[in-house]
Order: sequence, then structure tokens, then C-alpha cells
Amino acid sequence: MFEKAVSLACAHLPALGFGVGLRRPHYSQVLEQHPPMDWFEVISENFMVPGGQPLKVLEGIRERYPVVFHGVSLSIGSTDPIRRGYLKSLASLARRFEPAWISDHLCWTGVGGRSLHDLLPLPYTDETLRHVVQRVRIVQEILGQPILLENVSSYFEFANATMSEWNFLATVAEEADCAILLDINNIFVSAFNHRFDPRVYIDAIPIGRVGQFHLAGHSDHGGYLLDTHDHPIREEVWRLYEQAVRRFGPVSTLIEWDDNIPEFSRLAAVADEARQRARTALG
Amino acid sequence: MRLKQLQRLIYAGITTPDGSVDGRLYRSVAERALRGDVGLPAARRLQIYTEAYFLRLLSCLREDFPATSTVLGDARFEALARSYIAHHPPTEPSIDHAGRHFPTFLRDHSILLDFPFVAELARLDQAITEVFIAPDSPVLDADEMRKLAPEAWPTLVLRTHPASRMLECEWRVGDVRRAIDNATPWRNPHRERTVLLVWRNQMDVYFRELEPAESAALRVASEGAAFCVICETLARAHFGEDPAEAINRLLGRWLADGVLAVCDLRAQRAATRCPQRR
Repeated sequence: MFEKAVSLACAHLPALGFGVGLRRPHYSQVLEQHPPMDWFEVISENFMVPGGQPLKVLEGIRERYPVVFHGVSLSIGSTDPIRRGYLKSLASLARRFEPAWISDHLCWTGVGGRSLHDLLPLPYTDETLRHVVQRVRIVQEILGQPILLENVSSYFEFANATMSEWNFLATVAEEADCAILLDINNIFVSAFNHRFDPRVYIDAIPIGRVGQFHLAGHSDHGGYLLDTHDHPIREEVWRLYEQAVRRFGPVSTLIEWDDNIPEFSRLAAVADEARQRARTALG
Repeated sequence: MRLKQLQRLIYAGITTPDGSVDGRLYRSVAERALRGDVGLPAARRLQIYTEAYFLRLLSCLREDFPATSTVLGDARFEALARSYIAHHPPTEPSIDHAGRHFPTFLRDHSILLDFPFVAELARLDQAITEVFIAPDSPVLDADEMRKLAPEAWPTLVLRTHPASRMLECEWRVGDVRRAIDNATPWRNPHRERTVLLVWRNQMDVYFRELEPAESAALRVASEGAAFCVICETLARAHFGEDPAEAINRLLGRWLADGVLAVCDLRAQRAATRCPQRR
């Protein structure tokens, strides 16, 4: 049923091409040399500060490149009240820098007024579905625009789950009318950790809802994979990406690298590889 | 189990340090809430999040308190950080706030028996981070001052820039941070009452020890004060130097460093009275 759905959430999203996550070691190079790059994704919270260098950096980047905001603290699935102060601050930052879109994660990050500063999976039940859909609607109303929600990598699943993560994600997007940021590496990591076929996940996501892909590396801990963003993208993840491109078309794609961060030129080369692979996949 | 109960249960499992000692809490939480398998039992799955929780916060504290962590060394800093996190679990959306109580926590900790200066050093580390992202505001520069008619100077209100902090210290912790920033060996600091000024010029953060008269004058300016009041404070506190020369020298330095903020001159002139003229 999702195949034919017309997504209002995705209708306004531009195709940005192939970008990378903006990280501190690359600030001065990007600001001074303006290397070719289609777009940058920035971590919203890094720039939700009163002033100083972070905002100056973002000003400089925004003058030359499209930017999208990617948050880690929305905690859309938490049972705590929605943090309106956080959303107001995010909305204010968005008014100033006009990102192409705002994304965060389909997860919870804390409860009882406490934060874990981690992206925890939800129990995929009807109760959680109703809860999340209602909160996404409120968030979109406060921000004045549809958001993209990203699938997280996870290491545990809840025993009381009554649906798969892919069905949950697709239903949330449909019922709340939000878009999806599909993290290909997270699908691969979770598929290994929870013993499912990652291709089934990709095939279950509604085509019109996907506004962005994430690609990243992970580390192998033997019994499980850890989503560390500190390694090159594995070939199996690239193949999954190609499958996703064939299914969803030329969706804006972003390379994430958060630890053992390489030279900018190497990161740009990975973005170019994504461009080549997408072109080949689309024939 | 309802969503709220589940989240509270998982939170407790992840954040309770005892869970990593004998595994009982993990097993209890995992058995009640999670799926596992032979390859990766539920308790181990939960433990992955506990490890990440402490490592992420430890890494954040190390980054925010570089001199403090260097002085204490890895093992001691990690033990203190774990204890701190248990006493002050993060509450804010941004992880940047995770260490906000750390200097106060150290001030009441027995670590001061071995490192009596370390709470002050942590406060300096913290002030440097605070100033780095403090609000932007135009700085008062020498050209702007020169544009003013001489008779306007006495009632001109000066205010320290919002991207500045003054720290009163019992120990010369600035020497320790300076040594660590320069990657040179640090030594235990002398016990000497000092006032440190931490400020931002352009996008870079600096700090230095203030002369006693200068700290008195800037303390007055931190609340916003007429230039004549600042001069009077300097003259009262300054010994051994001509007060006019001291004022010239210090004002020149403050303007060059960007320590003073632009004030609404017209509004303040109207509201300010110079005490000598009353």
C-alpha cells in the first residue's frame, strides 16, 4: 500500500547530490579552500550555542554550500514531555541558516528528565506507534516543516515487540506524514545483530518517503557489529546501497565519518564513489 | 509492560554502575524486557549500551577538562568521572552540558587532599569552554572611543564583554593550563591568590593573571560602570604608578584585547552620573 502513496513530506525536499558530514578537523580547510562538495550535513546540537566560533563557521559554510541539520537529541520516542525549549532553539537556528531539511532519529535518548546521550531502539508496538506518531506531528508543527526520521543501529530488541522495525518506520512515516532518512549502514549493522535479511528491510520501505541516505563504516566485534563511523564503508554495505538506489532512485546521499576522521580529500573521494555507484546502479 | 516503565527499566539497567560488577541487574532487566540469543545473550546486549554510555561521557569530560584530566592521569580521572556521572547524570539534550557540575563536584571531593588545586583548574578548563561559545556582541574599540567628545568620557558606561569570565583562584592554576597547552611539563602550582581573566578575541580564547588594581576595575566593569568610576577604582587600588598612566595603559590593553563590549552610549550617558560631580 505504501508504494502508491504520494508523500507530501518528501515533495519539498531538493535532490542535493552527494555530501559529507561536516566535522571539526575539516572546518578551516572547507572555509579557506572551498573544496568541491555538493552539500554538508551538520549536527544541529553542535551549533545550538549562544555564539562564538561554531556559528561563525556555520555562517561561512552556509555562504557557499547547501546544509542540512541532523539532530541527536530530539528523543522522539521518549515518554518524557517534548522539550519545547530545545525545539524553539532548533527552529531559531533553522530560521537563521535555512537548512534544506531537518532530521533526527527514530529512537529515545532518555527518560525521567535524564539523558543517555545515545540512540536507543523502541519497542515496536501499537502503543509506541501511537505515541511516536503524535509526537512527530507536534514537532513538525512547532518546526513548521516535515522532518526526516532515521533508522538507528541497535544491539537489543524488546521482547514485547509486535512488528518489525521496517514496518514500524514505514507506518510512522505514513501516519505522521514525515520523511525517512534511510541509514544503509544501520540496516546492515542491525540485520547482523538481530539476524534478519537487510534486503527485506529495504524492500519494505515506501519509495516516496525516503529523502536521504546515510552511508558509514562500522567495526566488527565478533559476535556483533558496532556502528562506530570510524572505518571505510564495507563492500556489503555498498551493495545494499546500490539496491536502495535501484529501489528509491537518486536520493541525496551523505557519508558519515565521526572517529579516526580521515583527510577531507579522502572523505570527498568516498562521496564520489557513492556518486559512481549510484550512477551505475541506475544504469 | 508499558512504554514508560520499559524506558525507566532500561535506563536503570544502562546507568547503574553495579550492573557491570556482577551482571545481576543486567540479567534481571534483560530477562524482563529484551530478546537475546545464544550468540549474543540479552544481558550482553544491554551491557553494550552501558559501556557506550560511560565511554561517551568520559570522552566528553576529557575534551572539556583537558588540563584537569592531564594532571590527574587516565586512571584517576576515569574513576572520578564515573563517580561524577553517578552523582550528576546528564539531564540536558546536548552532551556539552554533561560536565557543568564537575568543578563543584571536585571542590567537595577527597581528591583535593592530593591535588588541592584541581577544582580551580577544572573551573579554568570550564571557563575556557564557556567563553568559546559565549554570546557574540560587538567589542568596544579604540576608534570608537576616540570619536567621543572628551566631556563624554567620564559618564561613558563600560561593560566587560559577555565572552569573558573572571576567576578568583587560591592557586596559580593558569601556569598549569599554560604548560599543558604548550605541551611542556607541568608542575604543582604555587599557592598564591590570583584573579584570572578568560576572554575571547575574534574566535580565539585567552587567559591571563590580572594585576590587583586591574581586577578591581574589571570587577566593577563586569556590572557595567561609568568610566569615571572605573578610573576611581583603579586609582584607589593602584600603588607605585601614576594613576593616569595606569588607566591609559590598561584601557589600551582592554581595547586591544576586546575585553569591553559596546554599550548604548546615548542611553547610558543619560542615565549615568559621575560621583565626583554630584
